[in-house]
Amino acid sequence: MFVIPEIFLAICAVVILFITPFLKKNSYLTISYLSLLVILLSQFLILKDIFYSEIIFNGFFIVDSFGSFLKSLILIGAGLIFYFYLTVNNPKSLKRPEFAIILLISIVGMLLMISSNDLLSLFMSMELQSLSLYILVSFSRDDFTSSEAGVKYFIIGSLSTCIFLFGTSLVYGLVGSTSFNEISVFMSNLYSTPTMLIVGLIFILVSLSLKISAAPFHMWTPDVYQGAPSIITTLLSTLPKIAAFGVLIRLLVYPFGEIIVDWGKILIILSISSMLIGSLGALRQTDLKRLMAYSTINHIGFILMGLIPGSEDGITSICIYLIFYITMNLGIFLFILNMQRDQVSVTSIKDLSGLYRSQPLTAGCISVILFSMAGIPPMAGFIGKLIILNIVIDNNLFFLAVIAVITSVIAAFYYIRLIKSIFFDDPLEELDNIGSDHSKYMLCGFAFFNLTVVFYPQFFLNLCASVTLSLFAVK
Amino acid sequence: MTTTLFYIFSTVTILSSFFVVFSSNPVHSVLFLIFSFFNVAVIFLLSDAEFIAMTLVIVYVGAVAVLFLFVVMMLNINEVLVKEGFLKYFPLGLLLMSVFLTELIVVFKDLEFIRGNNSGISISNLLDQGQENTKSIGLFLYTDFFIIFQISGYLLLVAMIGAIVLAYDNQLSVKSQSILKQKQVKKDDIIKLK
Repeated sequence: MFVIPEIFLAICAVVILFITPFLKKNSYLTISYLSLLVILLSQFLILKDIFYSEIIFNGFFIVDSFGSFLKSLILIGAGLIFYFYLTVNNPKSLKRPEFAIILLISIVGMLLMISSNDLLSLFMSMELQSLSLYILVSFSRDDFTSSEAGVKYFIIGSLSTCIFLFGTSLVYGLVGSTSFNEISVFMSNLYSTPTMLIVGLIFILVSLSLKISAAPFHMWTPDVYQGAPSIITTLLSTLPKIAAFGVLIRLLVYPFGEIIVDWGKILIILSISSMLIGSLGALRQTDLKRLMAYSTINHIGFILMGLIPGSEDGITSICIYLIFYITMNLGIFLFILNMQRDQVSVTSIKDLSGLYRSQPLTAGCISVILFSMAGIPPMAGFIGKLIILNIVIDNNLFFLAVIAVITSVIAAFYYIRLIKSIFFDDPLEELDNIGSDHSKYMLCGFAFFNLTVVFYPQFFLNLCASVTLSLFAVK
Repeated sequence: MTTTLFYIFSTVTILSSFFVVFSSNPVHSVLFLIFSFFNVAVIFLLSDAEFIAMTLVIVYVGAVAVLFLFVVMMLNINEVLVKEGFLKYFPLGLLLMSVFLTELIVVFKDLEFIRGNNSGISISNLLDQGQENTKSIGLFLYTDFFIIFQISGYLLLVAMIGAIVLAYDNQLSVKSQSILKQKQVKKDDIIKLK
C-alpha cells in the first residue's frame, strides 16, 4: 500500500505533541528519541516507493523518484541533526520538548515543498517550513543574539513571501491557473513569451534566491547563522537549501522549461555574484559560523551553475553536489557544536589554534573535511566541483568556468588558513576535549566518507542519474 | 458606472496608502491603513466578490488593524527616531521605486493577453453557473482545495506552538499565584507567637 510519508510525518508530529503533556518534566529526551524513530519510519516509507510516480491531491502534489531522492536526503540529514542534538552538550534553553516537535514540522514543510506541483501548494508548504524555522532560530529567547537573528530572519522571510506571492499573482493572471501542468501547457502553446510571465518568474526566482541565500539576496545569512543556536545553524545550512533547490529545479525545468533562455541569464548572474561574494566576503571573518555562512553562499553559487543548462546531466550533478555538500557541512558543524571551553560554547577562529596538539584525531578529521570543502583533489568536494565544471564546459560557458575556478582558489585560501591555524599556530587556551564518543565517531565517519568517495563515485553518479530521469519523463 | 466607481475608490486607496507611509503619527498611519482596507473591500464588491470583501472587513479591519493600533499605542514609538534616516535613504528608495514602476508599466502594456484568457477559476466563471460566490468558495475549499485547507490548519498549529514557546516562561523568575499552595498554608507556618 502506498502511504505518503509527509502525511505520516505530519500526523506523527501531532501525536507526539499530544504525548508531551503527559510526560514528566525534562521529557525532551523521550520526545527526541520518538522523533528520530518517526523520521526513520518515514525514510523507510520513502525508500519503499522510491520509483513510484503519481500526481496526487487533485494535481497539488507529485510523487516521483527525483522528489523521493531529495526527500530521503533531507530525512537522512534530519536524522543526523537529531542524533547531534541528542549527543552533544546543548545549552539549557534548547532542552525543551517543543524543539523536536517544531523541527519535525519544519521537515514536513520541506518534504511538502519538494513534492509541490502547484504554486499554491508550494506557497503553503514554504510557509510551513519557514514559520517553523523562524521559531527555531529565536528558540533560545533569553539570548540576545538569537532573538535578533530570529527577527532578522522573520523580516527577510516575510519579504520573500510577499515577493513570491506577487510573482505568483502575475503568473496566475496570465495563465489562469497556478498548476505546474497548466503552466507547462500554456507555455508550449505560445508564439512569443509575454513580458509579464518573465517578470512573474523573476519575482518567484528572487524569493527562492532569498531562501537558498544566493547573492545578491544573501544579506541575512551571516547574521542569522551567527545568531542562531549552533544546532539550528546546522539545520539552516543544509536541509532548507536542499528543499529550495528541489523546488527551483522542478519549477524551472518543468513548467518554465520553454523559456530557458530567459532564466538561464538570471541564474548566471546569481551564480557569479554568489561565488564572488561567498569567496571574497569570507576573507576577513573572525567567527567560524559567519565564515561557514559565506562558505555556504559560495557553494550555492557553484550548485546554481549546474542548473544553467537545464539538462539532465546538470541536474544529476546538482544532486551529487548536494549529497557531498551536506556531508561536509554536517561534519564541520558537528565540530562547531562540540567547540567548548569550560562548558561554554566558543565559535571564534582564534579558538582553533593549536587544536592539533590537544586533539590530534579531531584536528585530522576537521582538516580532511575542510580540504574537501576547498575542493582539493582526492576528496568528495573535488568530485562534486569537477562534475559541475564538466557540465559547464560542455555547454560552452567558459567564462563561468573560469570565474568558478578563480573563486574556488580564493575560497581555498580561507579554508586552508583554518587548517594552518589548527596545525601550526601556538595554542592560546586549550578547548575542551570532545566529550561524547558518539561525536568523535561521527566526525571520523564524515571524514572517512569525504576521503573515500573517490573510490566509488560511479555509485552516486548512477543513483542521481536514475532519479533525475523521472523529472524529464513528465514532459 | 462601475468603472467610474472603481477609479474613484482605487485612487482613494492609493492616496491613503501613501498617507500610511508618510504620516508622522503612527496612530494616523494605522487609521489610514484601515481606511485603505475599506476601499479595497469596496473594489472587491464592485467585481462581485462579496465574500472576499466581507472577509477583508471582518478579518483585516476588525482584527488585524485593531491589533496594530493597540501595538502602536502600547509601544509608544519615538517619531523622531523613526524618521531619522528618511532623507538619507529617500533617493535610493525613489530610484528603486521608479525602476519598479517602469517595469510594471512595461509588463502591463500587453494587457490584451489577459483579456483573451478565461481559464481556471475566475469569479465570473463561477457566477455563470448561477452560484453565489460564498457557496462556490465553500465548495471548492472543501473538495478541490482540501489539502491546501489542511496545510493552512497545520500552519495555524505551528503558529500557536510558536507563540507559546516564545512567550511562555516557566522559570522561577515569574511571580505567579499558586492557589493550591495558598490554600495549603497553615496558620503555624506564617504566624509565630513567642
